[in-house]
Amino acid sequence: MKPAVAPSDYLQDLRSLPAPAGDTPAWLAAARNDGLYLLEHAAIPTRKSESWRYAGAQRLFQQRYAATVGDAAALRPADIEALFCAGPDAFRVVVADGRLVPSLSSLDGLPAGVHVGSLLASGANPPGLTQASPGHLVAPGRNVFTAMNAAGLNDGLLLTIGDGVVLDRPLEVLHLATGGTEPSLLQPRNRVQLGRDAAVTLVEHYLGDEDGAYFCNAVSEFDLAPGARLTHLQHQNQSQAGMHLCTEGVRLAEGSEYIGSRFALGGSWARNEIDVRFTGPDARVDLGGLFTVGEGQFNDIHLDIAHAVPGCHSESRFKGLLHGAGRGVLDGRILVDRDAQGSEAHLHNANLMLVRDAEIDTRPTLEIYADDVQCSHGATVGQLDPAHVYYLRSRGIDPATAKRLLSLGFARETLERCPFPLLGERIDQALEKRLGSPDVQSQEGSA
Amino acid sequence: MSLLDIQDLHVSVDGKPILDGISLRIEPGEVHAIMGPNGSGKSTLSHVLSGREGYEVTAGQVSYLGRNLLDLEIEERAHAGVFLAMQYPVELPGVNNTQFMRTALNAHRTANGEPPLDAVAFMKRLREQMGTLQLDDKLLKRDVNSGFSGGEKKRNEILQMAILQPRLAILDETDSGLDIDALRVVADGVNALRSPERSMLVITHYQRLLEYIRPDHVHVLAKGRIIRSGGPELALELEEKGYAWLLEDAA
Ligand SMILES: Nc1ncnc2c1ncn2[C@@H]1O[C@H](COP(=O)(O)OP(=O)(O)OP(=O)(O)O)[C@@H](O)[C@H]1O
Ligand SMILES: [Mg+2]
Repeated sequence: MKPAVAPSDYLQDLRSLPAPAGDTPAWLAAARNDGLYLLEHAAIPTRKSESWRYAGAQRLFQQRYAATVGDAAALRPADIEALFCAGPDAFRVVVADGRLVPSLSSLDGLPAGVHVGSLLASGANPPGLTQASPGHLVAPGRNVFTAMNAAGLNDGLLLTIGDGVVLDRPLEVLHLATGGTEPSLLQPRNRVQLGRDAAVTLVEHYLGDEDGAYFCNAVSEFDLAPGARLTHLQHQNQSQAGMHLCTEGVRLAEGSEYIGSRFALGGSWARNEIDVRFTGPDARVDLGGLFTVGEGQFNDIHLDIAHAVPGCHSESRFKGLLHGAGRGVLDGRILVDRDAQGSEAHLHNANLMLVRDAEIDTRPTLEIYADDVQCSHGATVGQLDPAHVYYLRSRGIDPATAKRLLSLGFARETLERCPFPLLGERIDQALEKRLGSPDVQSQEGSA
Repeated sequence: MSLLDIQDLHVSVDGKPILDGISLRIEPGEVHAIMGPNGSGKSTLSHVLSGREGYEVTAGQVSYLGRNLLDLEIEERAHAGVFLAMQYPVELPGVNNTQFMRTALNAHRTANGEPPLDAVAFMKRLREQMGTLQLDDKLLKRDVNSGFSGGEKKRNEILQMAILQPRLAILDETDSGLDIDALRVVADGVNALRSPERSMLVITHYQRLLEYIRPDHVHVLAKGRIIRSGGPELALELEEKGYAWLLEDAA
């Protein structure tokens, strides 16, 4: 697949992206300049590149996405209201096409020591956003997409929780693609900083208009100080034609804990790229969730977990549900450095393949240089168990319904990770909608 | 008309003959017990009646309420009233037990021209049966058989039977794995279903179950054939003497 568009074709658009209202902090121009420079010199990753070996990034350069700022005014509060599902207690933030929409957000009652707001409102240079400032968890120069995100930086979400603050109400963020007639580029940017012993639950949704054609190129950074605890649920259900890339970096200091769940359901092309770095001992990561692949869909989970210090524990468990002729990828690497004695690391991927012409590449790998470690990795690709189908049929349930129940069951197990019943239901409904499609039923009799 | 009429049934699995000419007739309201050594073909018979794939009927026929049972799909047999409480019920992770049973019942109702039950009406019916079987409510919130103890799985089978109200209930070693109290509870559940229209085929190794569920006929299955049939006293005799004398007789 030859790209029809070059990265540099975006320079003009991104350069002339309207500046956000109000005072633009000085660091923003510097960050964007860095991004533009990097973008100009960036290449589109091909399968020759190790982290893109299963699928190059050419698909994202088949057409030009207009780097415009969407129309938040077009969003109807009642529609938005219906999308929230972390309960009435949750603090709420709406981000439309990468820009915060204060009028649709509700942050009343945030306790002292907690800041939720636009990156731009932080006067000082937030760490990690320019090449010059140290501490970025997702380097702008990582690839063409992180460069593009930096080049188009004109807003973003900054969440900081001060030392010792435990936020007992969840924070729920809606990242919306407002759509429009033209294929558009939206670039959410999130920075989450937890102070010492701080704790919060963050629920993120990436959603778009059902018939929107867009490319959502998000970058998120999660920085946990010693003893901090972040519970992070991410629900991605982009439009059928949507492209979605979410590049995330998690950094864990001593004794901190990151519990991350991904429910990656939508989009025509979607990729989660998650980097985890331990910088202090005794930190813990529990990562897991579900990715689904329907007709013509590409869904890729990419993990890079580096144990560089002793005594940390990472647990990664993903399920893939392939219900249509599409393609799934789970490419995960765990690295345990020589100094990382006493590490425990597990990476597992179980896939259910409901149709013969789906494709899955799963490669959980371990690279271990320390000797005192407990590690495991594994992947399975299976079909429904005929004994299970028989059991349901013997109770009078027709084969199509039996298969749907069992497939839903396989996927539903991952919802144990979700403490919000309404979010669970939302995901469940999305799954039912997918599995109710002829994708599965057309397979009847062939299994 | 007999409820079930099996004539000279021969069945092979992977080309290997397992059932070697079984004939058995069950009238409405009758309870038949089948006993026999391990590997004699008891479960095979039960699966063939329920329609499991992978069993090749090489000769013979089975008529159920005058229809050719072997022509029906698995779920059609269920809709027509055939129910098999399995020897090894499978675990179905992620499939909620209550939702499963409601889906099953409504599939029956729809197939038989009755309107589906809504959640409230279904729960009412379910609770009544739960009481009879002394099943913990928690099992309803869990996934089908997932992590259930051996006895809980067997009781869950009987619960399904009670909900679906079959015409022909086949119980394949429902008593194995049950403690003494549970055995009585399950037997009470089964006896509550006994009626002039309903028939049962009870597969067991132990005479104890037959003290609670009194059979009209007892059959001994060995090497794929029924080698002896008699009344309830045959079960007692087997308990006392084992199978060896019968096998010798048959040889
Ligand atoms: N799928 C199969 N493939 C090969 N052999 C099979 C298969 N299913 C059953 N058999 C064989 O058929 C014979 C009868 O098995 P079956 O399970 O019907 O016995 P059973 O009488 O129920 O025994 P038990 O009392 O131990 O439950 C056994 O020898 C068994 O190994
Ligand atoms: Mg058996």
